[in-house]
Amino acid sequence: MRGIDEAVRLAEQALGSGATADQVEKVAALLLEQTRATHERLRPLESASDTQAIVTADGGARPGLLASIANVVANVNCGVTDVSQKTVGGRSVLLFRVSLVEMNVSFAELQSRLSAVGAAFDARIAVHRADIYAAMNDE
Amino acid sequence: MSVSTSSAIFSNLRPSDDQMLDSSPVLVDRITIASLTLGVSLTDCTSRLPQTLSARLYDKISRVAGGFSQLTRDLATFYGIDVLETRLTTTPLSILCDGYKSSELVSVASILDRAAADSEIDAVVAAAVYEELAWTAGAREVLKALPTVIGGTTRLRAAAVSWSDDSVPQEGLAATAAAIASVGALTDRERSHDASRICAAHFPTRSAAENSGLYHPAGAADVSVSVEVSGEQAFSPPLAGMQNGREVSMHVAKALSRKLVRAGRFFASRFCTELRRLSGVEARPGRIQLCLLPRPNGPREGAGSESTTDSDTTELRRRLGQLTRAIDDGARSAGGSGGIAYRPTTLQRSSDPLSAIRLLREAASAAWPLILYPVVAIDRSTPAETISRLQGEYLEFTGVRGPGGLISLVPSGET
Repeated sequence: MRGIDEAVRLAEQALGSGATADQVEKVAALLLEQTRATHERLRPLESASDTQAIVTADGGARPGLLASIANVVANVNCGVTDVSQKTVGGRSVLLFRVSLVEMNVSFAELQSRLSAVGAAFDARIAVHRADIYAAMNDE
Repeated sequence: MSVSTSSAIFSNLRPSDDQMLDSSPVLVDRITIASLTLGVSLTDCTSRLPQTLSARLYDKISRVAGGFSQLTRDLATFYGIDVLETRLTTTPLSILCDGYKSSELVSVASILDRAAADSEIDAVVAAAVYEELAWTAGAREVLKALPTVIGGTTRLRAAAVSWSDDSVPQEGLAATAAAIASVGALTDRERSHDASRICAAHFPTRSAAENSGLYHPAGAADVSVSVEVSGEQAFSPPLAGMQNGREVSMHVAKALSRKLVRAGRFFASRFCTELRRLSGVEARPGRIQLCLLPRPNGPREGAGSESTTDSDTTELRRRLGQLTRAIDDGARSAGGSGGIAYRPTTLQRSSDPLSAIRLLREAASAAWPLILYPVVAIDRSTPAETISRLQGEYLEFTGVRGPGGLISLVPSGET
């Protein structure tokens, strides 16, 4: 969640058009408090982890896919620190290394936005934190 | 085309051409943890007095598992992983309560249930385990008490676990027969309760039973964290490949299962590290096992709701057998536990569990070593007539003993 504006928007969405301003404010405050508490709890995890993620896209030859992924990453205030593309047997696979240090949404939200890009381009897109990615691919 | 910029760190993560060939078709979209299990030894809680045992086990579980659920949620959020269920396994109730009366056992079980609820753990498994090729008095009492225990609790699941080697195969059959009889009693007397909370499983060896994840075995770490891991859409591409006769599917299945097992092991290790940091609990990674989750509208969903032909069954059996062996090979090569847990949730939703069970039985005999869990799953809304037919179907099974000797169901005459 980005901040007060998004909390208010989510609260309005959840409560519907009949909600009073007071009700919206209370629910938005609760959402913000919950988000803050979650961030506080996750901070130690963050500090002990690699704050990088690996985005993998199978279907990378489709025009515009690379740009769309980069766009999503930029929109959540993350930076692409490296990118690689390979074509194997007619399949194109893109790998992005992304810095999450300044990310302004949850990791699940990043996954969700990238999945939407994958659906739009008929490509399979996965994003994993770098430490678990490395563990998975450690041959 | 090969376009890249490089950094030293990224180079380490960049797969070689061979690895790319291996991994590109088996991209893991999203990791799902079907169950995260905290295994707790309660051997230091034993007492001849049920009240003392209850107080000790409640204290120990609260101390060890107090932060378990919150940490699960936090790590799941952090890694973007779905954790579908948290579980608690303990030293078998049949050992802890050896010498207890049935009524005393029920009260201990209810404390286990409360400890799980207070620690926000979804399920706790109370196990009766076959020991030294015989049922102990304690285990027999547990089996006898199963219907009452299940009826009086909400999170508790009962598992009857038996094993036998090739020299005494019938011993294990008798063990599972007792559990099936208990299930029968439950469905007759407590139709409103969900029988899917009872699991009866038979294994070819003691170590296979100990690795089943149904109880916390003697000799394991005092506290362990085990993971059943699955990819959300993990095994559909290999299955589809098999349907089209592509041999690459086996290779893909192996690579995929290796990746998932490694992800599961990583998660368990990270969990133990954080548990130590947050609550001082020394836990060790336990069993890492692959789990097949039935997909909505997947091939197994249809098995329970539509009539199937013999050729359908044969084809499913063949494909599942091939796939299971490939996945099992891959998982073992990455250090995972042998076998694949399969949660047939479709059985609980199916209006006609009979055909689904028939297919599962076929799969079980072909797909070594598959654990069927639970053996019996009957939804609350299942009509009484279907339950009767279901029991009849079970009783027609005669000592099913697949290549892994995994599930045994016996004719009524032997119960």
